Amino acid sequence: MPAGVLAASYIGFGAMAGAGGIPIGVVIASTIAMWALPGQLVMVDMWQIGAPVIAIVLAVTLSNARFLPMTLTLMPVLRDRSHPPWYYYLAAHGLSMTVWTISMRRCLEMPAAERLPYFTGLAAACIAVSAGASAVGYLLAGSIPPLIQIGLVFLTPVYFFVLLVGEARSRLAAIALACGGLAGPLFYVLTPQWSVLVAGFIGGTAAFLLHKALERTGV
Amino acid sequence: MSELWPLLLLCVAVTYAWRGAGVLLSGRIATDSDAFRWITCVAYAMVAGLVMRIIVMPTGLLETSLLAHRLAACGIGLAVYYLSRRNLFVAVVAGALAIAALNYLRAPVG
Repeated sequence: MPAGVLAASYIGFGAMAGAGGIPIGVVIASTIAMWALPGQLVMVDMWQIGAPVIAIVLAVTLSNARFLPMTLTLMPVLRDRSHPPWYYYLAAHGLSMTVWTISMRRCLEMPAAERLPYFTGLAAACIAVSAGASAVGYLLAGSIPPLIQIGLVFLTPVYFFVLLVGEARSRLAAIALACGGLAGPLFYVLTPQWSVLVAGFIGGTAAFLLHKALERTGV
Repeated sequence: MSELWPLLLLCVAVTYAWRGAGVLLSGRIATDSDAFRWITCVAYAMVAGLVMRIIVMPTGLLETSLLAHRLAACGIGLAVYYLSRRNLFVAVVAGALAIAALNYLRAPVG
């Protein structure tokens, strides 16, 4: 089932990038080498509206910050004396929300030495499925009527919408999503090219302070 | 178009930097500090902001659909998600079919 969701979201990404005039090589390479759908979406969307390179790179950097705590929490689970250090640096590239969620659950059920190979195999399979899906989405987008094409292009936004609203389990995440959701369109009106970066920074900081204030009042 | 490859390379580097730093620093820093909470907020807000903007003020092909239809399709996706006991795949496909159907009903060009 995670494979179906991954495929659907990356078909949507491929279709969206294809409809926006991004070359197929960049679409597939971004899936394999970046392996971060929100970051890829940020890059493609900001590039299409002509945002400055520095703004795009900063926005991609910040949108991927979740990988640091995710890697920090996963590494102790994968550690075993039988693997060389470089293996961990290679495997870390495969980390994504999907792979992290599955690995955190499944790895604890297996012997320590088998966890890293399991994680690496799972990540490689997910990357392969997603790279194929982004190519399929790209090619489909160019060959079907616009009325159906719109459904494909809508896959990625609706995926993130349902994922973010439906999976916001903690209050901190819920507040951050609400602040960001408001700030995104608002700052797009004010400063289209910098909106993703500014909305994330201001919306996120507002959410952080709001959450702190709520904690302090004991709500 | 030629600027896109160097841009991708930069984006690849900054994306891997978080993962590489995670391996390097694992076991040495705590994950429940205020700095982590803040950067988590920024990352969440940024993605939520971009997704809401794409839904409310899209560019490209989605621009040809109605705002009400896009919001309705998101609502349908979310409703299906809860009705299917949190099946994200079914929800996403339902949302995509909904926007295509709504768009088709509005402009039946045969």
